[in-house]
Amino acid sequence: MKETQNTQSNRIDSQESSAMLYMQHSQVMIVYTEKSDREVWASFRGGDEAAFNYIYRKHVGDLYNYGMQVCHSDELVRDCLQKMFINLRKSQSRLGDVQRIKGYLFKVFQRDLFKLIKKEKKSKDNTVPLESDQDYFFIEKSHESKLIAEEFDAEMKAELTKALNKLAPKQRQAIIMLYQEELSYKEIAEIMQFSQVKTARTLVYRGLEKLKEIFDVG
Amino acid sequence: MSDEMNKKLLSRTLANKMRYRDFDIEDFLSDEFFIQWVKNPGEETNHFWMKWIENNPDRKHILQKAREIIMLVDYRTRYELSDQAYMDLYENIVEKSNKVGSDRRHIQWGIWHKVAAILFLAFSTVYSINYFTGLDSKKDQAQQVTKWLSVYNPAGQKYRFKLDDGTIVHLNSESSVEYPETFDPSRRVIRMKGEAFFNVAKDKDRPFIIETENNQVKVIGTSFNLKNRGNFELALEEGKVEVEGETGEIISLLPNEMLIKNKNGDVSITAYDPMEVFGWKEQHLIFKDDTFQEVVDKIEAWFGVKVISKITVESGWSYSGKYHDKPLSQVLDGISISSEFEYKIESKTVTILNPQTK
Repeated sequence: MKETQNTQSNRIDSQESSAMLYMQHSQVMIVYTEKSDREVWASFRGGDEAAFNYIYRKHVGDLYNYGMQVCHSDELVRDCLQKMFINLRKSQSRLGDVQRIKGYLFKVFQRDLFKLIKKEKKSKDNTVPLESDQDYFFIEKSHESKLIAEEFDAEMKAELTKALNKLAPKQRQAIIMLYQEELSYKEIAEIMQFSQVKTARTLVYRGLEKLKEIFDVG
Repeated sequence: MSDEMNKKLLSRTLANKMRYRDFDIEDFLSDEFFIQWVKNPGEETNHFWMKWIENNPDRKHILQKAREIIMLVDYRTRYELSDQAYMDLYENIVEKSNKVGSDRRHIQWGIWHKVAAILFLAFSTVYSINYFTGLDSKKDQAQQVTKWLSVYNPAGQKYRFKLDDGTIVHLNSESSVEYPETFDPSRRVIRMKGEAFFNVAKDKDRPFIIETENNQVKVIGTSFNLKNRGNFELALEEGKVEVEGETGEIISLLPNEMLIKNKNGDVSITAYDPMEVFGWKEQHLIFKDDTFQEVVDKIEAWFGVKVISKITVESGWSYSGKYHDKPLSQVLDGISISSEFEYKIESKTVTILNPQTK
């Protein structure tokens, strides 16, 4: 069994670096899941291919989804992801310390994506389907929510979802990032380019306050 | 959140136990330490909140409401990077950041061949499929041998069965499905030929992928009919599916839409009649404006017989009719009455004759 796999990886790719993607998942995961983000990042900066592979696997799905929420162009989002990761790799030795890889990648990605959208808009007179401000980061009831003990019935949950979707898009975005992406206020503030963490906290708080009438009934 | 951050939050919170006493629901909802516990409960945080509830029993329902709201929030649409895009992107990143200024076209061809090779190897070697599909697996399953099973229905046979994950497959006649005995932890991959109706068990962490000759269908939990006989036809009943073609283009379908890709590569999305498309699995044999050849093909596949026609039908001949769980003779009776022909059944052969030739 083991031999077959080794032969396969040799045949698939003679280049060691890209063979990494096909490296047994378990190998990469065992090495890195136990490590803190800071350690994984340090390995990546030191040129460790497996560390990069781990970072890519772990975050590319979330980043892609995030990008698609902001701008519904699959091509542009993938293009932006590619450029971002290439830049990170090219400048890896010069990168600073990172505590939380996810938050850092979201921040860099958001910045790059906006630059790219601006550029595309200029060059192709507005063919990029950047969603209007009213029209992104919509919320839906998650499947897990059905599994836990119920204070709210299905009707109430539907109403809550509706109310959440009536909030300003930026509020929805911050709430999704806080609950679904599990980012901190500090990270959200950096991603949304607020100069103060307080702004992110207030944004969420004011949004939730508007839902209070529903909470109290339920 | 990282352990470090977690510890900081915990110690800060423990140092200030009183802070939650006057919390209202919106305060819980915006408290990082509380959210952290809801999303990723740990031993220490569990202990903290259980103790807190014990000391503040009147606040329990507020806490529970806040918990539910936090769990409730999800993206309305979660966009997923296709497997192909996932691999291509990685290849591009690695190659382009290593070799500066190399020929772009050359690299892309190289990747294409590599991916083709991987697909080929993975699908031609039954036991090592985990190696390929295990990219995102959460557990160490790579060493485990995956046993592939296959079901084939000859003409005249239909079969309904359940996969390891609870997905129900209705397999039509002259069709086959290949599937692993147990699915990979990260994705559920099967292969099919012919026609089948799938009621895919929901599992958002493990997309369900159906490989056909030229297309890949990716879903999370939904029901649809897939027919791949010459044309590729996918009719979606519920949920959402994505179809990825050979060249990587992805088409998404909504409920009540049917995607048709014909052999020339023409693609269309239309509405459909559920009875016409799904009826077969409930034993409804449906003819709708069918040509003589279509009627013959359907009868052969449905009943597992050979039809020999000694008649020539006029151009423009068509037949419509519905039969629910009826034997061959009744179906032939129905068609022959409206079309004025006679028939003979001899074991597995049906002969269609003109009345005057008798």
